[in-house]
Amino acid sequence: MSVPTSVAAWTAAATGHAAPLHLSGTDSDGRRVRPGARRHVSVAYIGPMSGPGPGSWRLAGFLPGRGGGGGVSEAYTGNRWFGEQPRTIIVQPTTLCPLDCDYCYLAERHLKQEMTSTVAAAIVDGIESSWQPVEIVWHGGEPLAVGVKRFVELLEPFEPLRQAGVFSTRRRPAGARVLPMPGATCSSSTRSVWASASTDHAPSTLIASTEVATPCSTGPSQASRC
Amino acid sequence: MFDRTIAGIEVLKRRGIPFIVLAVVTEGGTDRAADVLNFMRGLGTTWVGFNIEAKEGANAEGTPPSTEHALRFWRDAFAWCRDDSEVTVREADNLFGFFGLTREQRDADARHDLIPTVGWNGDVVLLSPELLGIRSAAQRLPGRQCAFRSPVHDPAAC
Repeated sequence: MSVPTSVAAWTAAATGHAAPLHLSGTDSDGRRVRPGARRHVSVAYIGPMSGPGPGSWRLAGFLPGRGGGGGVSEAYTGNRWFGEQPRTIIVQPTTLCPLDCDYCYLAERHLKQEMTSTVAAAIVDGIESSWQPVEIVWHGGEPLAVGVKRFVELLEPFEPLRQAGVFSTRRRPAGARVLPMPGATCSSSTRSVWASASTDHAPSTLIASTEVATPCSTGPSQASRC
Repeated sequence: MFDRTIAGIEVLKRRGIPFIVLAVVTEGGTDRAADVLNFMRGLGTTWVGFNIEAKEGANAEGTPPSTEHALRFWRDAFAWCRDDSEVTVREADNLFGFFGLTREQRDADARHDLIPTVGWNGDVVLLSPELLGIRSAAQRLPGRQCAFRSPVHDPAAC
């Protein structure tokens, strides 16, 4: 599948009028881009934006690279409607949800389809070192339905970023506690937010806040805006 | 389902793990905002977000609350927030927060976060996880269920 190369294509993807983008695709120069095929994984921290430009909105290696010219990122940055980087990335570790509420908007929640660590690594790889802190939301299905072992595997690629204290959330519920390690607690939730609070805690600490959905359907993205 | 959810919350509380709650409001719940919020407070959460059930995605056949029902819910929920400060309601907090911004702050914060959602298989959708798994008729793969009802929806392609 080729990568859409215009904001219109992104919009089409966002409104469901086109196939979703894939991590595996073809960049603007016709090169094949696959998870794990990136050149560098040296994301040590996320700092301030150096300014809009090509490549500043690559995610997980599926967008045209720097200097691609005319690609999504170039068309995307600098426009008046969208931020220059995502502040929140939502991740679906599994489609499965044991609660399977009938009013849920997500399809395939009865299927056990799980993310691999390769895809998780590709997400991490696409987080630009120039970005402001990003909130990672573990959505679903039920994220904990993958089990502790796989959840730890999926969290591991994010660990260097967490260690560097680069994940944060805009707001956390009062009383959120600092936990000793990622994956140390897993809870029954549709949407789990894992974030280190780089401003309030040592980088190695982690806040896990869990949104336990009385129903399993979660609402629009703003849920992550807490 | 309810009992399992409550049991999960009890585990969290026993282990001292804080939690917050997201809840979907179906039509039957729209006249019980105060009851629901009192219940949430009793559960021990300090933060609640509500989503009014929407006819979208896989829930194409749902019967979500009418606008009047939704208005009633929000009116009652906001009234509850006025009298109770123990529990933060996301929607009220966001709105009041916005009202408190200066014009300059509002302008600076006006650009949308595209909030990419990365699906289990690497699919990416923007703006909302609600769009995961949704495909237009032209792009739909054979054998896929037709979940999206757009104005240009083509039932023959499902």
